[in-house]
Amino acid sequence: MALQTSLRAVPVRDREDNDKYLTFALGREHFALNILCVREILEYEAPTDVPMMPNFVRGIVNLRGAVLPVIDLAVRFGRAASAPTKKTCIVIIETQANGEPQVFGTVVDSVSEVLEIPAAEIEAVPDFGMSLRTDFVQGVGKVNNKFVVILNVDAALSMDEMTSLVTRTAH
Amino acid sequence: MSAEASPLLHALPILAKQVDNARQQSQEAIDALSTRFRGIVASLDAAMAASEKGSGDGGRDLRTAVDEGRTQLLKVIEELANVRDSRAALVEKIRSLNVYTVDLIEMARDVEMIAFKTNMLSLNAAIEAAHAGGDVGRGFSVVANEVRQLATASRETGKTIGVKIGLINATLKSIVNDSEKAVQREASVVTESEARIGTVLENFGGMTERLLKSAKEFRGESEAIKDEVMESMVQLQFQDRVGQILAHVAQSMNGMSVASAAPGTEEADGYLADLARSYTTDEQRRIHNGEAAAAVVPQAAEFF
Amino acid sequence: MTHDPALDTFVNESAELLSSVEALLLRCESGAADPEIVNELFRAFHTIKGSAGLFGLDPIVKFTHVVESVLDQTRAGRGPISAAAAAILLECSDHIGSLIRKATTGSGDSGALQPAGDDLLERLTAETGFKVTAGKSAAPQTPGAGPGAVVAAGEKCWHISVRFNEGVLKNGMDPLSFIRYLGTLGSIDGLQLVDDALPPLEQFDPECCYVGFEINLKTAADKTRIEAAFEFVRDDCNLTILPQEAPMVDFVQLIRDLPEADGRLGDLLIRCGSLTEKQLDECLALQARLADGGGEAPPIGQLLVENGFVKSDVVDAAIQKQSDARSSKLARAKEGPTIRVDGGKLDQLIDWIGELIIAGAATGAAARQAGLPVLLESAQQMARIVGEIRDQALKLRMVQIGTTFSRFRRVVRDVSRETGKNISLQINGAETELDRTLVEGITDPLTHLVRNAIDHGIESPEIRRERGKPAVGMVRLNAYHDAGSVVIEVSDDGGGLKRSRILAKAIERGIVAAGEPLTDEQINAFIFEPGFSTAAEVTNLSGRGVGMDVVKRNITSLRGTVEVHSEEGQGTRVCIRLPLTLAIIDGFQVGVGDSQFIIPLGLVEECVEITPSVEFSQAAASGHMSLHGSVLPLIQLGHMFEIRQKAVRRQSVVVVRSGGKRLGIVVDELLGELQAVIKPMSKLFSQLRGIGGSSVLGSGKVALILDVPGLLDHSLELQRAVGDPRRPSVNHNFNAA
Repeated sequence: MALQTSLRAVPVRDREDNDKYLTFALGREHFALNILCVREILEYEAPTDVPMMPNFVRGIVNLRGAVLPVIDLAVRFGRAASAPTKKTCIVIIETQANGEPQVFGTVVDSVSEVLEIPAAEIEAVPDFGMSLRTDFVQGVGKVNNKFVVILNVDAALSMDEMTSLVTRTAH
Repeated sequence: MSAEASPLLHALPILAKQVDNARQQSQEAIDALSTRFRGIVASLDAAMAASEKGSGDGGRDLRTAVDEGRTQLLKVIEELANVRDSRAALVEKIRSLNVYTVDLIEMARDVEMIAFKTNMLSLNAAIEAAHAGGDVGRGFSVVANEVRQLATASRETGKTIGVKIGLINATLKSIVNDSEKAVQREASVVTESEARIGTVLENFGGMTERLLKSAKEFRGESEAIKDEVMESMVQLQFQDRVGQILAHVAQSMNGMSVASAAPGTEEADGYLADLARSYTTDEQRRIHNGEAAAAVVPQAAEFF
Repeated sequence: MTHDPALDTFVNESAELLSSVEALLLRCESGAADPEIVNELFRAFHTIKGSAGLFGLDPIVKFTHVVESVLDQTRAGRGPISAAAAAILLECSDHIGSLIRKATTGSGDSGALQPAGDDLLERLTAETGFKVTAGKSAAPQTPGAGPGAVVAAGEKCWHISVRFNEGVLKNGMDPLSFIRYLGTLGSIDGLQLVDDALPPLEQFDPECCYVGFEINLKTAADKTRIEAAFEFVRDDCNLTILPQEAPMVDFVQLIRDLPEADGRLGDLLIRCGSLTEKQLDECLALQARLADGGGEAPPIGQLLVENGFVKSDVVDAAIQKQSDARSSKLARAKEGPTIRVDGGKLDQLIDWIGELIIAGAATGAAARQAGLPVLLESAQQMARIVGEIRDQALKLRMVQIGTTFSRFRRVVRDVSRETGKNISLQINGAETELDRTLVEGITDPLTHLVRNAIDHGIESPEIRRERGKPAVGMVRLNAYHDAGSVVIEVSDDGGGLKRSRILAKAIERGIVAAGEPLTDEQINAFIFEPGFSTAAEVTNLSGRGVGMDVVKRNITSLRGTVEVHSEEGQGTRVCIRLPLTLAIIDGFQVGVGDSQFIIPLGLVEECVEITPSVEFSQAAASGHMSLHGSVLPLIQLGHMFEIRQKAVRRQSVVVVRSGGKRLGIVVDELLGELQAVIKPMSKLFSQLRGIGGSSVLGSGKVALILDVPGLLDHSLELQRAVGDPRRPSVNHNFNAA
């Protein structure tokens, strides 16, 4: 395997890699997440159900001894839940909530790749036409002449908002 | 005696000649007839001999030939059956390949799974690289990328393997299918052939039997005819006696005429005695003696 | 300022010391007169001063020095600390605390606190009547003053003999600095250099130390303090300290022990001023006698008394002291030395033990599957041992709640003063242990509750008199264990909760409709609603209504429950119930449908099968059954959690008990006991009632741990709903906080 070490003379910035994103799919829609908030990707395993939780909470899963909640992103975004396939993955995401890091697992239908989306290729959120809450969206990136919705995880997976939804769940 | 009897006596030699003539003619005719009859008997004999040859030993040969034919044909059927069996064995072998192809499909799926996992690994590595940042992160992300490409390549390979195996599988399946069909066809062909051949053989056998029966009947008939003919010939033998008698009559007539010419009774008595001495058959004697002629008992024809 | 871990240690130690100082001073305020208290106080302040000095925290050193000196003089005078003095000293201790905080968090200049400090010191010295001078400058005095020189009250003459080891200089110590320090303790009346050990010039190593000193020091400090001056070179020198009036035998001993020639030593001692010639002669004579005496050397004490050097009762006292010291040493040895452990390391250890338990469970399962008896036995043995380790490790995390309770003495004192009420704090069950992590969380709520009790609960002295109650109000802190929980009660004998007022307020705030029938408990529970306060006046401490709901939230976040019992006119009792441990519990595993749950084993009383005679409707979430002659309320987990239940022949009931109440939990399968490692669940699930946490099973799957008190509450709610059809539809929102 021929490795090409990058020898370009690049000025060293602190977080040079905030241009990297992980692209994934929910159903037929493609999204992207800044890689800094992605901890790791796991193969899908059925989470343990937690009773009386809203639909977007699939349950909890054990990751090397830590018990993490698993959120169904599709449902959270108001789409129908899809059945797990062999491509389904759980993406472990870390958000910031009130200065505290929160870790979640999220169910996605498939993950594509890690790629760079330079800031120049990212456009602001359009005011309309988005089938997703605009506050969940950080921007829209262009990759290979296709558009991916870049998510704002701190908002989409806001601990406060989700907790309040949990509380409100009546049966 | 006298000359009174003299005119009739003049008729005697003429009558004797007539009788002789008649005797000659019937002799000739009867000879000709006998010859003809002899010919017929000879022909019959020949035909019977021939028929005997045809059936009898020949009959035996025919049966043997039929049996042999049956045996040979049955052998052919056996061969056909063998072919069918070996083809069935081939089909079994091909079917057993199925197991391997199933395994291969599993392995192809495994390859795909490994490719998937490798891809995940590369993504996780890319994440870690991005988190690490700096030179270490960059170098590592290069590695992650290479791994990812490997994963993609593996996945493609896995897919290709799967496709190829699918093809192989399909081909094998169709082979199996075709073979099975052929086997089935052959089986029915064999069965049919067996049946047909059986029928033919049966027919042939039947025919042969009838043939033999006919020959036998023919021989029987021929025999019967020959017997008739022989019987007839024996009867014709009678002609010889008749001829003798006629000849004797004629002679006698001549004798009489002579005798008459000469007076004397002693000559008449001598004539009867001569006559009696010339008899050759019992009937003559009987009649001479004034007994009724007994039925003629044909004796075996003496052919000379 | 770079983070200095040594500084942390200083802060922690000082905090502890100040805490014990506070406790002692409170006792003084109440009239305790034990001289040992003064000694302890002195030692505490001395240590703080010394440590502060090490870090160069001069303002602290200066302030503490004064306090220490005052205490020193008090000690010497053998008098008790007056209540007034104690009060001021309390303020001083607080001030030192502030100084330390300011200095170590780098938050601003402690100069701002200077005037306050000076003020305090003035009041202190005025109150105690002791004058304190600043530490002396360290110039060594010329020898001359011998014994018999005028000694100020409380001061004594000491003879210090020190021989420094050769490596002292190489270890970075400067002998002179110690002598200088001695100078701050008092006045050095005599100083003799002992240079007998100096080698000839050729062998002289400038990096080695060959000197010693004989010093005559006049100081009010005691021997320990003088010794402490040499603390840092203790291992690098030979040190002997003798009081001037020490028996000759000691001097004899000293002379014998020191390497130099006897005559020379005697000479030094005289020169130093510690001995007179006459005494020296006696010494030497005695020494000779002792050296020649072939027989058993008579006990020193006897010798001393015989020789009239020391009075016999002094000797007796000395001997007594020695034996006391020895027995207390023994006692301490039995207890064993305590060590400080970093809390974080302990937590890590327990985490690892948790992982060990999970892995052990997996091993056990694999062993059972493999079916090898030897392996199975081995796995079981391992599980047993791991269980023991777990218990020991968890015990490490247990601390007595008494530590937290004692803090409240100060709180009570302060609040009493502020409110002008006379309050006494009773503490019961101080030795009740609870998990370290709970202690931190429970302090704030308890503080609030205590303040409340004093502020709102206990009436003013006049009202109390009117009501015929004792003048001194009583606040009681009580703690005990109850079936897997720690119960902490804050009770007072004050006026109790005003039921009508609470109800009125609740109606006013729309929490409940008027005319609705409620039990006292339910009414009392309203005080935990946010923003709820029936206090007629808002005081500095409480009444703003931001308290009780926070209290309840804090307690809930610790997986605890809180209840209020009260009788108008009699008093109030707030009962907090906390789980005994958060880390690893013995659990009982049950199955409902395809899910598995764990019930803390300590709460499980028994398990019974459901017989057809049991009357309860399958469709309802609750029901009853008769057990041992009494009615047992039931809860159907499957219904409550909306789980599709398995079709089992017989369901089972797990009878649990918590807080004196019993409940039957209906489940599909009983799966047996296990050690469950409790894993914290995400904040997302913090509102989930009925679930108390999650646990990773040996198989790697996650099981949910039931929160029995929460289930009990819910069960009671359901029953009330069933019992009273007039009630508006009870909110079955199980997740309501």
